[in-house]
Amino acid sequence: MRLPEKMFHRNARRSAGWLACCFAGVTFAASAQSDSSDLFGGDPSKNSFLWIPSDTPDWTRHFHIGAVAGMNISANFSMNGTFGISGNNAAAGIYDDGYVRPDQTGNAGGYTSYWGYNNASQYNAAAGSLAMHSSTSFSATGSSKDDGGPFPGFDMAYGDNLWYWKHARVGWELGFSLLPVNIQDNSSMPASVNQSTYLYNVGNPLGIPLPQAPYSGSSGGQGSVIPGTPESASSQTFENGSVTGSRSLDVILYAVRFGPSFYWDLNDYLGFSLGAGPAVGIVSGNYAYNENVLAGGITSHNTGAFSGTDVTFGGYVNGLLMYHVINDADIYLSAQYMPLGSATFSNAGREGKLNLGGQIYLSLGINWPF
Amino acid sequence: MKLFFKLRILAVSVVALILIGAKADAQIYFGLGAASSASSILVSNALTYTVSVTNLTGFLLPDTLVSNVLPAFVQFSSATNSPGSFTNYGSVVVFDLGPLIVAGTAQMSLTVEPTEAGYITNMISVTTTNLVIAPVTTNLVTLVTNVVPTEADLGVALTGPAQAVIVNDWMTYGVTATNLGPDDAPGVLLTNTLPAGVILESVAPANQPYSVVTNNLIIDLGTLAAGGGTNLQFTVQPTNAGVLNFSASIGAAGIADSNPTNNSASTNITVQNYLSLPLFVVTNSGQTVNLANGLEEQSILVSNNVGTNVFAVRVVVTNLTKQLFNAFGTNNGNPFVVLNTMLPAGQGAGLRLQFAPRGTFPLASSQLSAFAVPLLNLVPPAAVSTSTSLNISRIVPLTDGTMLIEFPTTVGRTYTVVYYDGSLASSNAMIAPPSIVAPANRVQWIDYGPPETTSVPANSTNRFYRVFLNP
Repeated sequence: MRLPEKMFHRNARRSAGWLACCFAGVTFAASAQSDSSDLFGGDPSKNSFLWIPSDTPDWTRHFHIGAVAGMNISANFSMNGTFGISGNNAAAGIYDDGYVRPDQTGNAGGYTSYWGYNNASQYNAAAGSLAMHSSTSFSATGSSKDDGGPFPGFDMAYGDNLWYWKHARVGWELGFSLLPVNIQDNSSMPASVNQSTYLYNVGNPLGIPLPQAPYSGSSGGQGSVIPGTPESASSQTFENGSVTGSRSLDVILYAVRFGPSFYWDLNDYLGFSLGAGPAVGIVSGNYAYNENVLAGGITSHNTGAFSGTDVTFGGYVNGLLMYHVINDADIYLSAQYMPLGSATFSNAGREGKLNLGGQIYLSLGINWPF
Repeated sequence: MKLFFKLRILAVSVVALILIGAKADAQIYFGLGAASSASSILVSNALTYTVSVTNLTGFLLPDTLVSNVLPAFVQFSSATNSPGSFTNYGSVVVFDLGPLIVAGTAQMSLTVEPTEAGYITNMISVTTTNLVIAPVTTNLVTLVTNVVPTEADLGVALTGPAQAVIVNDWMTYGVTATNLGPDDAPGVLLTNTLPAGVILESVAPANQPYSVVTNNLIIDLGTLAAGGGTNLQFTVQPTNAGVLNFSASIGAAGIADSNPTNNSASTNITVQNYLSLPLFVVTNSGQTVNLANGLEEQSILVSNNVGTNVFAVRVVVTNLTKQLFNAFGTNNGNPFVVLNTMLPAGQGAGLRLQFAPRGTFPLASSQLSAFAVPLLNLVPPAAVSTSTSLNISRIVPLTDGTMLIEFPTTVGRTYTVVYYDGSLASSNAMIAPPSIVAPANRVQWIDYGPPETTSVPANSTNRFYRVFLNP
């Protein structure tokens, strides 16, 4: 029986696929027409698995690669503890609403030109004082869940068929996927904020006022000068503070899967495969935050990041529909459900948990049988 | 006939030579105008001379001859004249104008073609036969090249200092070189000649290379683009009093300069001695920090002890270890400030010196010298008065009678404060030196009187301020 032209090549393996040469280094010699008595191979009259002999002229192996859209991935962000604030450094004269730093004269005469302030409210002309504020820490407890995606990535797999079962070919498949994931949380939460206030004595007998706000002096030594050190400092806790801004998980999910596969040729042009098995994921990346801490009318900027890697386990089920475009290549469309455990990134009271329990991949790519 | 004509020319020439020798200061009998069609041309290109002659004798000239003597490598092409006729003798073309009435004018045109490169000199002479009068001559020189010469109008101009110059002052004058085109001019050299006894202190911009040959500064300007120019500032120290002539010239090899009259310029600068013996000056305060500008300040008191009123007073500070921030100028390497108002005999005035960087340092009265000088010209230059005027955000009278003004600025830009006593009339405008280079986004400037302004604002009935952003 002569196979249809498409199936003839696919089953008889008349030529060596170029990709097969690349990946397997194997060149298949042209061989005679398949001796299968069935158009699609196998023997539908038997319920047993028929071993595909190693010298079969059939193309038993395949490699596919494609673009992936990862969906149904979410993250939980939580904070619980007391956190420092990175955006100021009072010891170095960098405050939330200004700066008073040593100028190039070395603060000759006790004064510096290297200072600036943001708001007129910081200057009390009558008292001759300039207030600089520095929020030193905040305590916050809260959590939120944020969905993300779809996330673009790629997927590739290699497999081989070992048996015929009726029309189906049964084999194995080893797959790898890479999926960059970025999920951001923009929720705000209440916070208790510790804030220090530094008062500079800017009074003078001549009545020279400070330059109007906002003012930013330079380090050269010229321009308006104020004392280089504060006259006094005090601290205060604001219970009604808040934290706004963003926290984000910016990671890459590397997933490896391995399991049995079942392949059917539906007709001359369409094939379908199913696969399932265990999977393992490696999640590596950063937890970053870019927050504004508000208290007493003062906004402090707090940024930072920490990195981590977590390993998760789970499984997968996928289905591929292949369209035989040419003898050596198919276009495939696949859907894959790959539930994995959560990946957790935590540090000093901050936690970001990537929920991979329901992730679904939709993929479109090219399959090369060889 | 031709032989006769040549003999006539010879005779006329002999007579002319005798007259030139004997009557160098004799009356001019002809008006002679001559021009060539180009100052430079290519070989084999046509060159046309146009000549006009006017009878200035006051009587009828029976026969007037105009000769054009040309080099051998010039080929005659054509000629026209009215009235009269012309004769081409090879290297000489003679126009015979015939009778020329009183104040009558004759026009001639002569076209030639050079056959090789070099300079063509057309020696044009006009004389008359039958009368013994002095001929009038002129020469036209044209460059003939094998390649198209670059044509450019290079020019140079000098600008002297705005203020009177005292011996040993570091004074700055400007030299502006221009190329009015039409072509770019490569290899432009500017020569700036310094009078004797003048020491060069600096050239700005500082990266401008130059060489010194005796008293000439030779500056290689490279290529001056058509329509472009450059301005150089020379700071010099004249060591002697007198009227000093500063000159400059510009040129470039291989350039056909269409207007050589502006290739050199000069200016006279008068340098004078101090107007009096030294005045009395002492420090009269400790050093304090000016909170508005971050400078170290100290007051001095200058007294007029010379017995006569003085127009203005200069105080020179020597052996300084810091910058005299509000210095008006430099004399013999020492900065000075100026009390720019009359100081009557027997009276004194306080001045505030400002130093940078901030920090106390020893300043003794012995480091101060005061002299009577001419009044400074502090009228704002046009460049200031036409620049952007800023909004002064506030004016604050301070407890010591001084006045603080504050204005928004751009860091690094330069600002000039102009004040007006009495009214805002432009005739009252006076610059308050020095200009301010903004160190921050806002600047506070205090009018504390001399030397920035002529008096403490509390002593002025009405004082107005404007701040200009310098171009």
